[in-house]
Amino acid sequence: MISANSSVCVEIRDLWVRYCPKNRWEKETIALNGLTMNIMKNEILSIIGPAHSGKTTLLRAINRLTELHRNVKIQGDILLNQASIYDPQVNVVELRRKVGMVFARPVVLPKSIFENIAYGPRLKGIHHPAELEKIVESSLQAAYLWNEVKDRLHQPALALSGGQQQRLCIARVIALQPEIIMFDEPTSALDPISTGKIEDTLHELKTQYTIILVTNNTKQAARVGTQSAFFLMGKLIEMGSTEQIFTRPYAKKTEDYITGRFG
Amino acid sequence: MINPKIEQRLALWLLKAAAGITVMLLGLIILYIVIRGVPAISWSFLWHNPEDMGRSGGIFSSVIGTFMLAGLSICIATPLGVGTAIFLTEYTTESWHTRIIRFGADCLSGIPSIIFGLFGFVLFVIVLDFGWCILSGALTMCFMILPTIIRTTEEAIKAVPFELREASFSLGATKWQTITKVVLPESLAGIITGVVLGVGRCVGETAVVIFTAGSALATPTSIFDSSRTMAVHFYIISREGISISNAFGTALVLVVCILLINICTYWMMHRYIRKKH
Repeated sequence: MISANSSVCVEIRDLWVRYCPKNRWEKETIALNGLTMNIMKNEILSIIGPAHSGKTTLLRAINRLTELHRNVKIQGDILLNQASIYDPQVNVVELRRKVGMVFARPVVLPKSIFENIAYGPRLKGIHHPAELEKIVESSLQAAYLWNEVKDRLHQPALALSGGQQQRLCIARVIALQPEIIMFDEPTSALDPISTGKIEDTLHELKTQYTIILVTNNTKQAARVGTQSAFFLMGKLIEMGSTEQIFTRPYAKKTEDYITGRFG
Repeated sequence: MINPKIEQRLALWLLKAAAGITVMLLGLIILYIVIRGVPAISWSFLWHNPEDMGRSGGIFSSVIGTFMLAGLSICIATPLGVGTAIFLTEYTTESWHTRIIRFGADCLSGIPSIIFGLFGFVLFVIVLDFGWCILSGALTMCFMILPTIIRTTEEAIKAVPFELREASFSLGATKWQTITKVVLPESLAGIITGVVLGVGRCVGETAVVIFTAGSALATPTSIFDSSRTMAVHFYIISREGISISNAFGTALVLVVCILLINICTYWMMHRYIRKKH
């Protein structure tokens, strides 16, 4: 399927994601309920919505991490640069390199700071030490972590603080040179100062990458996003420029959520 | 009704007593073996072969036999066991197949060693005609320690948080790369524990060895030679009343070997873990 609009980065077409029951007495849950939306290039799309509205599921569907769970059923299609990512020809490993993801809790690998960042490039086949060092330095600088860790690159990454670990995770994704970086509530486990640093990083990254930011914090969405989308019960209620969503939302539900009447 | 405060004290006291008794038992056994064994230990005891059926001379050949047997069976059992555990935990979901494999492994670990010995004797010594040799012994012992290695490895792999796997996948790793670069290094400590437990069982085993590796006194030079391990040597010379003092000397060497193996592996593991965290 070819799309006419070339500045669309990700196109989601009637996407249904269901978690099938593991046994007879459990009920099937529908995480995404016929979702259709376009995500533009070099924007920060922030997705807001209460818990269980399908935000994280959408991210996991875009880099096909949902496949790690056997009981997930997916219908519909997602197009990345006008090519379906569910095409049998698609190399999932390549796709995940193009679509980086930062998780809610910082998950550093139990290796050194250097090894954490070199992990992805090494898997890509880059083994030359000088080249790896260059990648590590530039990635850490892009995540504003270089100055804090440049003297202890070979120390365990687990010794870093939570905020530093999360920025390390961002650097690790940047090292892969992705097109899209997805953040799944990246600051939910962090203090306000670390949050601020990560939001600064997000602003900088916008120039080079398309960013999808899932957040529970509506204020963060308003601060960071250029586009905003409001999800409820697996459906897209409203999507538009952040300014419009936060000042004059069309849908009553969006307004209620933003003003804190529910959720 | 007892006053909760007194109850608490009583519980603590009982728990302390339980721990104390455990340590005391271990201490007593080691102390007894040391006291009885030290007089027999000498340079020539360690470096000479038994003479006169073990009445005099040393235990060099059985030390070598023990290490060859344990080493060989660990070398066979570790890849098999770790491979099975990886397959069960990473490549299968819980189903009746995996339950049967697990149940089988559990049953296998409950079978008395003498039955393994008899089975190994029939299969390797008679049917496959390897004769009494270290290879037959090691293969039989491998059956015996496989369940331990499988279950401990499985537990170690399951203890690796799922988030780490997700992070690895999201960075463009394949399943196999995730297993070798993230899951196995992270679960190595647990796997080594299983292997060390296996070594302990191998080194201390008698029934299997008597049935499958024989009880030759000469120093084994290949895996096709028959040999007796220290435990078997101890069993034979003490049971037949050949030399009780040499028997305790053998026991002391055996216990020290097991302690050394454990201390070395724990020390290496500790260093490895400290390097990572």
